[in-house]
Amino acid sequence: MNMFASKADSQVTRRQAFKIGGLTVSLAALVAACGSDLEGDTAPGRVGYAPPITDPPDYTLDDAVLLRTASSLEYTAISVYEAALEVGGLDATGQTLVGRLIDSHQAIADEMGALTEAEGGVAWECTNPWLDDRLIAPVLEAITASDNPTRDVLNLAVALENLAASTHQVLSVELDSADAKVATLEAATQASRQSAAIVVLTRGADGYISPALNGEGIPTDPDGVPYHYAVTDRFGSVGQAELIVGAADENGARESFILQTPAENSYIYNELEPSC
Amino acid sequence: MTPKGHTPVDLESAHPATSRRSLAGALGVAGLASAVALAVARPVSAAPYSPTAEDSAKLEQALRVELTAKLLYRDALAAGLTDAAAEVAQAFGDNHEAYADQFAAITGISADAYDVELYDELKAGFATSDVVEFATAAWELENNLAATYTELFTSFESVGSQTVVASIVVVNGRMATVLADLAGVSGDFNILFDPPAEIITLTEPQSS
Repeated sequence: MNMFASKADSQVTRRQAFKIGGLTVSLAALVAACGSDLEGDTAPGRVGYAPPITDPPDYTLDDAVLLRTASSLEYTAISVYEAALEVGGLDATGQTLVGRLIDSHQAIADEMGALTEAEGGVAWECTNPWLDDRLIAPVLEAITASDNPTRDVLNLAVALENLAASTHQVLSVELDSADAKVATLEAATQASRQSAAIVVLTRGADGYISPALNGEGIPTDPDGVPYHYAVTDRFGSVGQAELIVGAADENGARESFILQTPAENSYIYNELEPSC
Repeated sequence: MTPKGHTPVDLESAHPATSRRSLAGALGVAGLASAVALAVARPVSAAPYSPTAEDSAKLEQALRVELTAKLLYRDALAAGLTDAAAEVAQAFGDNHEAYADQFAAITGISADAYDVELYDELKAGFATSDVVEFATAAWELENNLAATYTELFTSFESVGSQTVVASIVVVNGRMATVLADLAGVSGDFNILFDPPAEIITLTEPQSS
């Protein structure tokens, strides 16, 4: 019995030796870390140069936020149309159409504002700052330098109407309020009509139906800019769209911009202060 | 067939393994709690994705209306439309067939019956080679369909039904705009942007 007991004791001793060794090293590291002579930055080490990390804000996403975002898109469209009127170059029909589009977007913005307040939020009456900075400003800058600003302005208008249509279409499903759902669906249909109207009034029957409906590619004009169509897809698309504007470079390439429906980075959260 | 039994490793590590499992379990609970906390912080709709029985009943009626629209456009083609009008009739008829197929796909209902009453009511306007007459009849139909789906929209309980219907309504609006141009009235912005519309009464399928 003593022999077995002794053998068992020696096994435990080996294991304990490992444990004690590991514990000793761990305690030594802890004591060193907690030493009173510790100096320097206590932040985790960084390798290389990188800007400081900013924690994303934890904002609530509710119907009011979605409706404020919808309003911001409407005001963004209005600002672009007003810029187009200031630039000039539109004939009488074009000016009347743009005036009508501004009125339509203002009416929808007002409705989205009223719905925002009905949801307990504060109506947003400014453009979308994220879109302004990353899309509208660079697009307008490219158009200013374009070899065909009229074509580019029309294509931008169609693209913005399509973006408004897609956004409202998405919101009509995402929103909870029944009134807001119907209002955004009506706004989506209205923006779709407006997009189609710009195309049929400028291109006639050639612009009726996109070859994409039959799985074919989108043709381009003699300058290599893709044509727009009134009926773009068989079902309303909410995918991203490409807008090509500006002057061609030495290789014939023009600036390309991607338009996407608003997401977390471009929502008008309730905490955001108006920028206008 | 020899039983493998427990390996020495299993026996040796029985107690520590229980601790690790406890830890993993605790982490799992913590992860679940975090997920719940996130879900509470950002509420998601409790609506089902697939159509409910009530949704399916309405979608079946809508399916029959879409097949009716397809037949009407086919009648217009057969009546002798040419050029842009023929392309429009072909494409728009295909669109409505695709909508019927989509309704069938999400409900599991066969897309094989149209609304006879609605077809009889509208066929005279479509079965013509007169472009303006055809375009006017089709423009009315597209606007009426858009208004009907908008009216029905919030009565659909499922996300899937709403998603499909929303993606159809916007194209109804686009097709109506094209048809207004084909009818030669696109210079009237009231007609383009604020068209009159009537809700189509959806009817229960007749049992045979």
